[in-house]
Amino acid sequence: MLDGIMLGLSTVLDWNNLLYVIVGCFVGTFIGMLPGLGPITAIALMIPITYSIGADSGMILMAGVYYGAIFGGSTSSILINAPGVAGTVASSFDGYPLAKQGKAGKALAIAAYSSFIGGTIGAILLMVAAPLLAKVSLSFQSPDYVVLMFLGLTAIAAFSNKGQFLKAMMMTVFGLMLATVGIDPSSGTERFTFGQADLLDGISFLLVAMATFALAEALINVARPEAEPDKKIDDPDTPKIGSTKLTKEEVKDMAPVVGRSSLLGFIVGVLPGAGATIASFMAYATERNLAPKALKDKFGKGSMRGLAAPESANNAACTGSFVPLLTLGIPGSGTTAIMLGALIAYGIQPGPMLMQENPSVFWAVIVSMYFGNIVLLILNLPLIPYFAKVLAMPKSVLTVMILFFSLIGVYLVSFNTFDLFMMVGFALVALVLRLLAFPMAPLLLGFILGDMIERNFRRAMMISDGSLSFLWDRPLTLSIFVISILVLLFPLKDYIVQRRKEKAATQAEQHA
Amino acid sequence: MTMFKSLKRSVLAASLLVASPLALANLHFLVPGGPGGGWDTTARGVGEAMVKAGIEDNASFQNMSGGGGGRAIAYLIESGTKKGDMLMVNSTPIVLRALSGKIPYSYRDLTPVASMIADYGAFVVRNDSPFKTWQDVIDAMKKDPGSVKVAGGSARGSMDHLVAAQAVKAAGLDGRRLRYIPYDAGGKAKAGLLSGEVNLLSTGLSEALEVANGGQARILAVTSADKLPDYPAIPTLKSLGYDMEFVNWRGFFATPDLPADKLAEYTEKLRKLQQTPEWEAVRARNGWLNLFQEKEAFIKSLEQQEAQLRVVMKELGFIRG
Amino acid sequence: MLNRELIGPSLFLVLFTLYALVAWQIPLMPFEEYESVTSATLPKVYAVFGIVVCVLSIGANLLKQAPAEKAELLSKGNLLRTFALLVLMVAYSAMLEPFGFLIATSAFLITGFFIMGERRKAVLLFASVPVAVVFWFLMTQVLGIYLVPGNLWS
Repeated sequence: MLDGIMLGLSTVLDWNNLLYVIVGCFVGTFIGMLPGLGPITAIALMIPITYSIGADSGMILMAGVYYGAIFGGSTSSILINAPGVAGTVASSFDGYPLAKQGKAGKALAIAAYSSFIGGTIGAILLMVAAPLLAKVSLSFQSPDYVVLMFLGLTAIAAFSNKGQFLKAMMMTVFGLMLATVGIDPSSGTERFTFGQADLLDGISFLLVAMATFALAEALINVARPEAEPDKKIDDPDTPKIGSTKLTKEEVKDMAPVVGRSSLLGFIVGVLPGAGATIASFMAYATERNLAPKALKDKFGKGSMRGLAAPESANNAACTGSFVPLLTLGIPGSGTTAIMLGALIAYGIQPGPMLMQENPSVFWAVIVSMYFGNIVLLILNLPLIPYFAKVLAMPKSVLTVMILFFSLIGVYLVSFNTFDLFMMVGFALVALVLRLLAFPMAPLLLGFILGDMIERNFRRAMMISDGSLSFLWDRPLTLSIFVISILVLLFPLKDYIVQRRKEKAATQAEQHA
Repeated sequence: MTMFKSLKRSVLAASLLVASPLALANLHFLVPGGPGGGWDTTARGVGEAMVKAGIEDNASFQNMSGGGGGRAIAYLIESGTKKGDMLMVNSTPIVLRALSGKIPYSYRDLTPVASMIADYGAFVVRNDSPFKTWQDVIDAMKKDPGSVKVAGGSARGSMDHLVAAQAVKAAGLDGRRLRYIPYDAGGKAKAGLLSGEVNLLSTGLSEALEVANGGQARILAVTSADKLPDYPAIPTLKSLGYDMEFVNWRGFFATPDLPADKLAEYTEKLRKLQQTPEWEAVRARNGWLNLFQEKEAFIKSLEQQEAQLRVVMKELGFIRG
Repeated sequence: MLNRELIGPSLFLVLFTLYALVAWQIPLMPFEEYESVTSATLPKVYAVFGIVVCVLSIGANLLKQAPAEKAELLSKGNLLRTFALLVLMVAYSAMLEPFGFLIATSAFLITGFFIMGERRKAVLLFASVPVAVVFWFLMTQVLGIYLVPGNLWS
């Protein structure tokens, strides 16, 4: 293994390749910041260039673009609440509030560091245990994905504070319903399309995310401009907006969060049917439930833990998704599918044979990916203050820019103005809902998971010939299912305890 | 007053900039799907080879996804010859979706130019599967149709399903009893096969080769008419005694009011391209198989495929009446 | 007394009921008619679950009879501005393909700034047209993505 790493290092430390990584990171970050162009488009556009420069250089360039795009996605997620990549939605929950509080630089720095550590831990695990992990990749079947996604849904209990539970439920159901629009892949039936050809393929995630997060946020700031009590700009003690400093206590506090989330993210990423998105949501929910009472309430209002968790998880998950790709030739997501195509075009056949027949390539790929991580951190940290300064634009200009960004982002994916009209419609609905104090996150969660849950559920039913026994047939399925039920009941327990206390208090008052 | 003047000037500049791209591109490719997908890769590969081989000065690409390809078709029909030389890439799904009614158009609404490449259907099992030959699969299905679960990377009623259904029909079984389990994409279907959820995978040959070459699976049969020159060991269904063949072609279409000389020009360009080393490089690197058919032959095979698919889809209930 | 908290759940109730109506009419494929779980199953489940949640919420709010919170009155100016922006976005979507990216975007940005209260001509012009041009340049020339040049004149 050591010579493999040496081999990988020697490839990567070539001057040309270093240049490719740097270019890749820049291009990737830029593309990732534009909502519509995600890693998939970025890599697809880069591929023709990569053919002419050779396999290892090509992979290195693509790795740079991939990680750059994810970092870019986090940037727009945090700065303007416009999560262009599904894996960065959870980062906006606490990243955006932090930015609003004038701590944009800090938030971006946390994102950068957490992502880096997540990717590092992922890369180490990859190097050490790749063949073993291949077995893990294949151990999950459709029933397991069903309960895993269900566990993700129960994480909604994590998003709702007291009294918000029912509202969060309504938004989740709304999201689930939106996911049913289009042609049902399991049977080919048209659902909720009302004869519109543009709805046949369903509603795109990007559309819903941009409309309910970015557009609604921009609009509500116009409808109800905040007095911004959190921004004590004149207070000399408040750090500048572009500052990336983190205090020792903050780092100590976040360290275990990052560690746990990276591990969780990596394992989820190893599963072909789950990726960065659900990894980030689950990490967020886990950390919220594990946080001590005092910190728990900060989640959603600018908790640093709440930002560090999904950021480490999504990078670790991306690294984890390389396991099925390299060891089995199975791409777990659109991005890895394109990389697979690229690998094959280079003449590299991923699979169990890869490690044995072509170890140099295997290690070169892994080391280059890791290098992409390092370069990204080095390149972007100094740039963060400039990114953060974006928020210093006069509000009138910033708002309109955000609107433009979101609209054009969605347009660049489908080139369909019908989508734009739908977006405005959703933005209006989201605006009204926000004014009525409904949380947006459960909507998005329900939307993302609804699709995956239904597909896996229908598949599981078909494979088990129509019986629900798949829920308890295998120990893996059963255990995850039990965990999700427990998670669902957890807040209920708190509620019951709370009510008992209140009852005792009122009784005490009456007797007094 | 000054504001209006500067506004006018910038509008003028903008419109100049806007007008210039129209004069540039010599051949414009319309892709009914997103970047990175099969259609997109094919169009860009052809365009790239054409420019490199000197057949075209310039190639531009426009992605227009939506409606299962219907949007791009509508655009092609509407824009006619106004937009200059425009070719749309498409493949078997256009026939499929026209039959199922997913798109309100069919290849008859366009001018088919030529097909360039082909992919065949293939059936894959895990290395440790008890099925050693395709015959074993058929026998197992004869005994108990529900015991063989077939995975595919597309929805029910689309290619992977229909190919599998046709194959078992050719063996005398009822296509409707086929247990087809749809997955989101080829990759997930492969995962389903390798994880043991399903016994058989119906997919395109190029995807099948990926997982077979990795050493974890075996290809039991392929739906080409003749043995594949690169993989003579894989039996064709025909050679096993089952009268079934299926080809997923990828080719180009043009607007319905294309003048005859333009059609000849496009066909000639594509034919020339087939013989260039630049095309061979693109083809080899993507694992595509050449299948060049020009106008009449192309239309004939489209008609044949349409008839073939219509029968299967009617039987399986994807077309009513 | 109209409890503000009732508006949301009531709207959702209407939406979910409509969804349920459509869900019960989903046309099933012929082969699905014999299966227990079909493409209409989960939509129906969602609909029922959603309606139950709405009813619970309405019930809980009616029981609570929360003291009428001071509804923060949204200033008319802000509301008008928000509405104007929404209309602008619709207009942009309609204009994008006929007028082409550059003109539509420049117009959108300039009008947007104007709505937001920006009156400085320098900002209006230089934060809009150059942005549109730079964007166009990056998309079409650098990344090779095709942007409609305007259907009205091509």
